[in-house]
Amino acid sequence: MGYGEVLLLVVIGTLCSLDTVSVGQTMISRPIVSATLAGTVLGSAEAGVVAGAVMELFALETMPFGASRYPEWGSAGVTAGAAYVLGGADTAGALPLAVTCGLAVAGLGSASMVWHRRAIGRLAGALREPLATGSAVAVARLHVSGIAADLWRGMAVTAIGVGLAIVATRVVLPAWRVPFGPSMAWALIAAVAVGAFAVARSARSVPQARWYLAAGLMAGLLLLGRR
Amino acid sequence: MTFTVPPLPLRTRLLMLARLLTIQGSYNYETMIGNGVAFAMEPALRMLPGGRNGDAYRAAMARESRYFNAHPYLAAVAVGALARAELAFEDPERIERFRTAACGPLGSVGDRLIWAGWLPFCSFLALLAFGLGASPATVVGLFLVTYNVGHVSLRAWALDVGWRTGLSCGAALGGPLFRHGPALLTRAGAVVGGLAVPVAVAGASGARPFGVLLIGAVGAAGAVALAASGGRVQGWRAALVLLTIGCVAAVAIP
Repeated sequence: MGYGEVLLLVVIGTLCSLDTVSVGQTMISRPIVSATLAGTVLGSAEAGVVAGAVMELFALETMPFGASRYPEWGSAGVTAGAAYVLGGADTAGALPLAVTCGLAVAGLGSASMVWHRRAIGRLAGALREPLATGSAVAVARLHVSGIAADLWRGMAVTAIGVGLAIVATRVVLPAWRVPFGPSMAWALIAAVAVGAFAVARSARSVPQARWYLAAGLMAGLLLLGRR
Repeated sequence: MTFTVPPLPLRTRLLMLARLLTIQGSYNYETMIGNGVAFAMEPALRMLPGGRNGDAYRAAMARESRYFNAHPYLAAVAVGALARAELAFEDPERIERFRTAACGPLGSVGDRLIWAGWLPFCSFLALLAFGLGASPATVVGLFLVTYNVGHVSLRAWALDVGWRTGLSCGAALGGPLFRHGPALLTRAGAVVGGLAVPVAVAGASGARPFGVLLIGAVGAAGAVALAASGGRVQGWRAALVLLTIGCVAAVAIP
């Protein structure tokens, strides 16, 4: 992997991070998008979308409700997608390692968003007087500073994530001892557990939705049996 | 003297819509999206007598940059309504009461409709397409186009309804989309989700149906364990810990 690809991954991760809260919320930050983009940069969109689909099951658990603390999936998706492609989709351990790196970066992203919001709060405190007198310059300054700080935050988190993906795949995978099948099953079981929990929790919140879920599940299993 | 609210010029409307896309740019735990509301509304406030240098403009900016919280998409209703109220020289106390009262409904309705309904539904749709063997571009395109048709339409509608109805915009939130939409989307999401998860696992693993069933059964047991924790354990955190232990064990075993 060359410097150009690393740079492109960091740019994509930064844009996806910004999309999480500050700019757009068009959901390019969802892992199914960000991991696929990372895979495309590294020459394998097919592997990227696999990592993205698995990460998406985790992401279903935490929606960005109000001021609640939630993982940042933009940079996490880029990390997981990059790690999976770098590790090699046919390599034992590549998927669990990619998911582990992705989830770790999601946690780092979550913490960094809290620091970022506190920093904006401090700047808002410092600008209290001009804001109270209706200064449009102060409003714009606070706003642009918040977005700029989020851009730097996303860039830093993604850079750490891409670095982690490179190091982890080079150090861990050559020493991996568990065969391909069971290794892949770990990651998928974890993803299914979290995704199924999220679906069931949502279905419990609305009358009769559990029956719709059961019908969908039956159809899914039938579809599976016919393939 | 009465003041007639001028029509919202297209350029101003587009500027406000563009700024609404960054409404959470200065999100913080003190004023939440209050500053973003003032930033998004500012192009309309320039129409106040005296323009950017007028006292009315400064007073409005000061009011509107205070604490406010709502769902980021439906906050556009408040931005439109408050901009109209400022241009109509509504009583500042009435504006303040509206700001206080609007936070709850605009937050909870948006959360249920978008975060709990539309977004998971679109995610499941993308996972289903992935599981059925669609190309990566199709999966990503389907997800982004479907989601954003709803997203951008909602923002544009919200700004429009806020501007048209002003501080009486509450009735718009009682429409069928907001009353029945969340439940309909949750049911639709449950069907597509139930369909998508096994198919997506098959697509990701390439395993035969028995293997997928095995993964699904163990995963379902994990989901039950998460439900039994009563919300004390976040699934993704527990997965991170278990997968890290697994990775260490996978390289440490002889």
